[in-house]
Amino acid sequence: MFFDGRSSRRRTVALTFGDRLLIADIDAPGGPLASWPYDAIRRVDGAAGAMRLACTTAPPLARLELRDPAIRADILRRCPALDGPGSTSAVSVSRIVSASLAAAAAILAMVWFGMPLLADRLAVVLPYAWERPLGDAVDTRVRALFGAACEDPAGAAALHKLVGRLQEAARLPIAPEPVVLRSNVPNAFALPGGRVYVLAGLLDKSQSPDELAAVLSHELGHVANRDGLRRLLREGGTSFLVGLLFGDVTGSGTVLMTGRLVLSASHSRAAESDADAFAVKVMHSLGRPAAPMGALLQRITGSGEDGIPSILRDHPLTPDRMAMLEADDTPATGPALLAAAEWQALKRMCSG
Amino acid sequence: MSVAAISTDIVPDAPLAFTGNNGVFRRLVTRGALLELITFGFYRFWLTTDIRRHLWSHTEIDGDALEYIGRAGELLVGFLIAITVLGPLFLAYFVLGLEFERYKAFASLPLYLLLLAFGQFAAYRARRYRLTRTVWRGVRFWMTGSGWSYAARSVLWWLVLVPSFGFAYPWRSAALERYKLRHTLYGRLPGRFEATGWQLFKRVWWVWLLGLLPWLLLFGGFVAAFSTTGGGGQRPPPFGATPGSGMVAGFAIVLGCLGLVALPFLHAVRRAKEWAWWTAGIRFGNIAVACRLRPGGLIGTYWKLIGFGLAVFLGYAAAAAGFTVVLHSPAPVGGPFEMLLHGRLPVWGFAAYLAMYLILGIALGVLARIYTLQRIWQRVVAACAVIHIAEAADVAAAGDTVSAFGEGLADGLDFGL
Repeated sequence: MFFDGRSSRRRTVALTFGDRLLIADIDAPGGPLASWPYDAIRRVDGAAGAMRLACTTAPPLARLELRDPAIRADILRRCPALDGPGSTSAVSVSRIVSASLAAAAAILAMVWFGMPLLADRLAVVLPYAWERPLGDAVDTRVRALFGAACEDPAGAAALHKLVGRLQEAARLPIAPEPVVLRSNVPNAFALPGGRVYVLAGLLDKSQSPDELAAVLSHELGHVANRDGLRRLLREGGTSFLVGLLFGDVTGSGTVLMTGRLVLSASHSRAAESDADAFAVKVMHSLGRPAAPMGALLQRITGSGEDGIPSILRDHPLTPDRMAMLEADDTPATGPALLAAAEWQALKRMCSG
Repeated sequence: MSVAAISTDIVPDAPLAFTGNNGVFRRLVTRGALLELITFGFYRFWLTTDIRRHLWSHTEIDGDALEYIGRAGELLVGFLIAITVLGPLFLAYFVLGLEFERYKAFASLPLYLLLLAFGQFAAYRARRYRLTRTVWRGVRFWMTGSGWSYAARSVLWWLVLVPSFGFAYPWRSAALERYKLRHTLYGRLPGRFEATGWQLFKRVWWVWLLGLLPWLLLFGGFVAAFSTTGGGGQRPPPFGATPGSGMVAGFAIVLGCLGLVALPFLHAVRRAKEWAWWTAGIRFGNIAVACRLRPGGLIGTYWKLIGFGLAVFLGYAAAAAGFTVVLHSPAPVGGPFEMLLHGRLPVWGFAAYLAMYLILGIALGVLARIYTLQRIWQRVVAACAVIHIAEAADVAAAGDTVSAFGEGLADGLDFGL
């Protein structure tokens, strides 16, 4: 059976094995339809039971189909390159596997080393104003998650005074906007764009303005170092690249995501100690010790409720941190950050 | 020539045959899935090519098998080109989405439509690639037409489809198939699509309604249940505080759940009717296809998929539970990953959970490929026959290959074979 690749006409042919394969139409006498050099003949996909051949020097879609076993044996004998280039021979799986692993390793290396570097450089360069939309976008969700803001005016004034003192010392390019949310989770966090959230649970657990101030200045440290933006760039960039390159295959995606989570956990430890150093610096320039933060964090640990996403989930109280904070138990040299009445107003802020 | 006339008056003269072996395909797909895992997904280009080669070369029309002449390398290149387009696109989508979200929560809808359009463009181009790599009797299939034109039509029809709760689906299918087949050619023989939306609607409207019924029952039942239990305060409960309304609600919920069981049957019936309708509408010149696929023909396939899928899930659940017991771990806090972080789970334990999860994913993927792809292909092909195949006796060759850009896009947007 022969198809000449120029029309779909099916022809029954006779084959002559000369110095080339001559294909002649049985029903149409005259010259041969085609002559195929043996070394150009390739095997392609055919039906079961039929050997289908193509030829690299013939029209690309010309096909010869053979069902006679004797003729097939002849072809196998005479054609040296049946499974050469242009045929549908099985691809070497080991080559694919090794090439894929090499490519994956290269991409992962670029991502592991390159992405944090890129994120750091980019985070420093991007203007602060660009962080605002990010913070705003998350703001509604944060309020939905952690409750409404506590509106007591005396408490709000006290909080603003406290944060104002911190801002004098920290001198952030964006003025921080603190908000207290009515959730009894003991946590506080800062989002890109200068929004600082204190949760009522943290207010309850803190016993002096110094404790709260130290934690807040830690969070302000994150804002100053643009950790939120940096983390977003790094993790967003990583998952974006990885998802794009590796496709959505179950399995490899999970493995990579696991690795990515581990990566981000290890990187954030550096950011944490930087923010701690910032907090220490700010407290000292206000003349207050930073050690009370350690006491507050220990109090939260001591409450023993493990399932709650306390501040410790994001900032684990490692022995190093504890030691550093305890060592900073210097006496206060500056004025108290808040008067007693203001502190009481702040603590009572969310009980209304 | 109407569709009805074809199926009763004219005897098909060329059967379609599928000669593939289930076991061979199963081994192909299983091996492929494992290789995909090892190669971080890169093997998917080779696997897709191999699957298509298997399916195409075992499909015989009038005794001659189709041939798929695409190569994995083309898919890889198409994918790489597509990334250079998709990369910036996704970035822009994210940034714009952020901006729009600030003004309104649902303002990102137009962006979603844009992505949908892009997906349809990719689907058209991918189909074009596949067709130009399909050869029968030495002549290639190919396509004209514009991917963007198709994408625009598809999105416009989607905008009609959603408000109509799927009512407009038959007409949408007909319109899109008409466009696609109008631009499909076999050599110099142009194709067209002659089935209409109304024909499909006549066959499937009852399936669609029956499919809606369980959801309506469940929804109504839950609403009624919550109104009766919560109606003690100021506002009067809608059903009145009669004791019978609680029972009615419960009854509706039970009926709804039973109805859910019927959904796979309905889906299989609908798909079978759609396949029959679609194949009967294809024309190339005077060549047509007659399909004897009975409405119940695909039920077995879908139920096997569900059955095996459930079995795999149960196996996974049993293994995971048993493993947890073996580890003597206390009540788990958070997922396995959190436990690893807090040092409660040894690393090998975590690796074992990961391995089980991966095997689950692979097994489900393999099942999906076998049942939704190969088995259905097998059944539909076995039920079809070609009419007036003599017209295809001497079709002149035409058409050029196109790049696998569409396939790459489809891959990057996460859908496709």
